[in-house]
Amino acid sequence: MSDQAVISESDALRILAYLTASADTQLFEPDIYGPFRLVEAASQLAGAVLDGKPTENREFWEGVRSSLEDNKFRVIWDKPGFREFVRETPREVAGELTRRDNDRTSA
Amino acid sequence: MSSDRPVYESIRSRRAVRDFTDEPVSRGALERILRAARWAPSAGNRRLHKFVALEDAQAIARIKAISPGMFGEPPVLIVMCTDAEQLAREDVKDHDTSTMVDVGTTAMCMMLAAHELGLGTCPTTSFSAGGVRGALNLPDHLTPDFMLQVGHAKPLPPGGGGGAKLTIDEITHWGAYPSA
Repeated sequence: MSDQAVISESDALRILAYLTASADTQLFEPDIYGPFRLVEAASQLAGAVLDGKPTENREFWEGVRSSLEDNKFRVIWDKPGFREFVRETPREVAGELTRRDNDRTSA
Repeated sequence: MSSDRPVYESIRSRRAVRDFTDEPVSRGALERILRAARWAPSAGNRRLHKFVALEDAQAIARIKAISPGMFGEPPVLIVMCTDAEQLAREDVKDHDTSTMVDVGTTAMCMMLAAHELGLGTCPTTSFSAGGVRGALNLPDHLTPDFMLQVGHAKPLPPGGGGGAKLTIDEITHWGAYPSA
């Protein structure tokens, strides 16, 4: 299994700008916007990975990007649902980490 | 440019637009929106604001990168700044809330003027003021307080577009606030 570098330096800079600006705005925004901004940054990261046309694990990145995009604006109209989504998403990502570790171990 | 939209109908039908088409905004329309800002109420007629109007896609993308509240890619972005030198000249105190009220009334004048022209707008306050200062080369005495995204709106998806959900009875008490 290769470990392909897929994100460009310019995309990394754009995400860095977003994260540092979000740290700034979080000083005055409502607390719930903290998770919202991190979900948006995670979506931008997944989008940048997909822009790099990964040869492996594309399905995972497409799935997580789609899930993040579909659910992020629930922060506006369904805060309990948004909180539940935020709590559940790491489980899915951790599952991917575990799957890859298992693949490496068994290889 | 003229309009056949009554003011109340414009207020009622305006929505925040987060998805814009690629169609450019004419300079004439942009200048009309900025002229509307000049006619906004201003406490003590102090006229505290300066504006930076952006029409270049790359410059707007730079601002978007440091503005978490910006989701669309508008062809025009107007940055409203409060001038600290003007504040000092007018002896405006730190706790004077009229300064931010003026930002709001000016913003509304611009949004309604754009709506009259068939343009969509999105008010934006979630941005890094320091980042915007750096990106626009603003002098220290100008504080970016508000940004207005302007462009032609993409059609809303089915069911999209909210609006006032509260009745006046839910937000109004007549005469005095009721006793606890």
